[in-house]
Amino acid sequence: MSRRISPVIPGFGLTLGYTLFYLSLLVLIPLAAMFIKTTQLSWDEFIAIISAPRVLAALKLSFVTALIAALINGVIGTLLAWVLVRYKFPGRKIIEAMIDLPFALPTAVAGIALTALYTPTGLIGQFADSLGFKVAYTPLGISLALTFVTLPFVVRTLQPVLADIPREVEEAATCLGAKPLQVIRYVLLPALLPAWLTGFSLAFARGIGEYGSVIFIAGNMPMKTEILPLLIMVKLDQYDYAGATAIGVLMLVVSFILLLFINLLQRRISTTS
Amino acid sequence: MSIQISKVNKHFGAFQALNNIDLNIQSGELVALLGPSGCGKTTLLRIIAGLETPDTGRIAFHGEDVSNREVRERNVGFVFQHYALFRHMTVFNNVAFGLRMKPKNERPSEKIIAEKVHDLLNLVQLDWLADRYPEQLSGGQRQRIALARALAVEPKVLLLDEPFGALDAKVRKELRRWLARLHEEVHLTSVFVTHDQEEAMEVADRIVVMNKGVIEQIGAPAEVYENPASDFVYHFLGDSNRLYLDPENHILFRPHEVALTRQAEADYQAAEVRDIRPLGAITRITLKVNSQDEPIEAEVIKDHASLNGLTRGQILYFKPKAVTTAHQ
Amino acid sequence: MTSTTLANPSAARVAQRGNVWGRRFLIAAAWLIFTLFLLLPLYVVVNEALKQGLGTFFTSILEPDALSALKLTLIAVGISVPLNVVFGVAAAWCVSKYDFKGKSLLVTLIDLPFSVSPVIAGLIYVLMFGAQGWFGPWLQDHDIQIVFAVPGIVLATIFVTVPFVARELIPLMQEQGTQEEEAARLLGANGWQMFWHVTLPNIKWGLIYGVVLCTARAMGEFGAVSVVSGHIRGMTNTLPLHVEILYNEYNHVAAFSVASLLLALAIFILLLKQWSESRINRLKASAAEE
Repeated sequence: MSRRISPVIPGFGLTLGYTLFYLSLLVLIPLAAMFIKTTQLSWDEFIAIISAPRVLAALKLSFVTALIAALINGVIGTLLAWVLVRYKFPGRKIIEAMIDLPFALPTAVAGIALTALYTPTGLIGQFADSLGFKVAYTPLGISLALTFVTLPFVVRTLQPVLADIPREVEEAATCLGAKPLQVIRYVLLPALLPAWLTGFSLAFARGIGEYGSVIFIAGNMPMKTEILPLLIMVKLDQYDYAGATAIGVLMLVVSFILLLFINLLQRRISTTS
Repeated sequence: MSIQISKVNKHFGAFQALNNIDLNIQSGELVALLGPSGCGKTTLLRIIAGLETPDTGRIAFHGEDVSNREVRERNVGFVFQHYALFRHMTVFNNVAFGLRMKPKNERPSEKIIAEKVHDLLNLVQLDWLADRYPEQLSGGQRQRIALARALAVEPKVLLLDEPFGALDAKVRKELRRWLARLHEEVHLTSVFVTHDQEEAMEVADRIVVMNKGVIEQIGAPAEVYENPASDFVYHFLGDSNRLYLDPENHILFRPHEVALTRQAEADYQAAEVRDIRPLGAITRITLKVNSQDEPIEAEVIKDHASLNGLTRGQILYFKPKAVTTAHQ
Repeated sequence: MTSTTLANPSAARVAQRGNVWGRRFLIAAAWLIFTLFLLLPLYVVVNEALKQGLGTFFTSILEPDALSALKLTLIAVGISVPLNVVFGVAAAWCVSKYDFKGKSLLVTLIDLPFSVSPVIAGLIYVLMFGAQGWFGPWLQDHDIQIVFAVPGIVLATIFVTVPFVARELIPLMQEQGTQEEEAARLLGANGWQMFWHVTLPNIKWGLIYGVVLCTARAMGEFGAVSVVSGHIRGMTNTLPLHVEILYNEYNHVAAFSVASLLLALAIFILLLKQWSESRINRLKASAAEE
């Protein structure tokens, strides 16, 4: 079915035209502008900018902290999704409604709240301090901030899938003699994995690009706690547009490769199971 | 209002849904488009309504070409398979919708609309549901509301897509008798699509049997049943047996058109009894003939002489009473 | 142990009891995560805001710079949300009511702003309209300021919120199909009547849901707006940027006071979201029934 347009539902040309116009004007042309801007740099200049030690350190920091946050969410998000879908308990409705708080709360608010919570004088920070380690102004703090802002992704992608797995499937597996861990390993995990990966990759991608919630808790020390998006801001403040653009392109390419990789992984999983 | 369909073709990509369809429907007639799923019957109905445009060919209402007329100007009533009632409107507002959509100078006053809606709801015997929402109705009730809504704009043609398809067996039987009676009353040119041959036979004045985008046969129910134009029509209109005379030729006959006896007689053929199924008024016997793998089924009244003390494995003699076709 | 078959009732009961403890443990863990990750940050915001009493709190949120930041936030929301609503309806319409080549590519493009870092969203407008940008010289000649001014903030806000409405409407409209629209057309409705009387009431709750999410993001966007704002107090500061400035000036109480205002809005948005979501689920259930 290549092009099926009902003769009685009007507006195809109008809505498609407007959609393309709007997207081009606000999203595609500006993004293209960034890529065109980088072509003003020679290849060597581009490589020199993105392989500067400060850039590489920031790239590594952004990548690792986002990965850790996505992994933490992969565990606690799965737990939350499971509990919210499978159990009825006091407070379920409140948790259910509040899961989306990180999406509704401005990231700057999240940033200063988490900083206050995790500084050595803060509510949680003082416990950590007495145990002898620091949270705020360290990569750990960055990971925790990213965990907060990306918390809903895994929960929200898993919930509908979990709700759609009929309990009968687990019961059938149990009747066939499977032990609880075997039910999880052979029945639940394969069914959940594609959605879990989607949630994980959304959280990961968002974590790499996240800015507002991180800069307060990060400390922003070059080479140590400076994330990649912040480095773009620093370059812009120094009127180094070429540098900012090169890092922007690097970030886009990294997240594009990441999404592509996870997409392929997902396809592989859904074809083997 | 009569309908003339001439040389209609329709493709969806590489798939040919309709192949050169010619069909004339008389004024006041109730016609069934009958065929298996994918045969093009629904596409043809949607083309008559103007919901699809044919690649080539024309549709005329009472001799007047409507091919280029917009759907809202064709004045057809259409009942969707899943009714497509407006879920956010009450039953009353659903039925009133078509009247309220008329241009200002043709639009009746709210008072007249209310009268008209109640008349229609009375016609479908559901006036007491006027304030309900579609989700609060049963399938059969939704079906009748959809019909009332279609009739509200006083269409010249009524089109129904699998009107009983989504209903359970009992409601379906009641409703199709009711539809046939309603058609007697309002006498509107009506076309309905169905895949159920019993439904087509019971309700329609004429049946159009379709297969793979072409019309196989057009005729009154008795005619298509008694004189099917092809093997396809024969098979589609009821259970059938195929008996091979030799590898090239076979004859077709229906299970109730079989004569049975316990003793060998002239023209009768021997067969082994494989199964005996009492089905109430009739009993079905499955027979195995040596010359072919395909079994033969015979249906006889339950107190038929040949059934007396009959058990599996015995030999019976059968003869097709009325051989209808002998194609190959 | 040969009596592990589930036909054995006592074995089943043992399994059941194991489940109860596992279940209690998981629920307790969920509560703990919820408290640590979601409740405590909220508590901190309110607690810090009220540290010096209600008086200071109100002074902080009613001072002129805070009010002008609120005003700018409202302007950004007020322009970006309606534009994205119109876009979202148009995009959802052509994606869900028709089949055409390149449809999945279009859907990917609609979602694209979600996978772009907000800082980049700001950067691209600087590259277009900044002094060094494509249109920079021309804009300067005509004395038009886009970047480091209100238009830039609005543009950046639009960019990050483009997908919200379309994303909510597309699955809902795909589920509902086109039959009701066809029925309306057969009953004599023109295109506009069909949209107004049939389509719009059916997508109403999805639309509200999308607007709620879009508003939340537009109101709270920080990174993209930060790049294009220029941080001029009382001029180009939105509420989140105002929070940042106060915080960096070590005026923590004021920062948290304004933050708690944003928090209250966020909670309000969550309530709205919950409410519209329950209505959508009802719609979907009735669509699935047919």
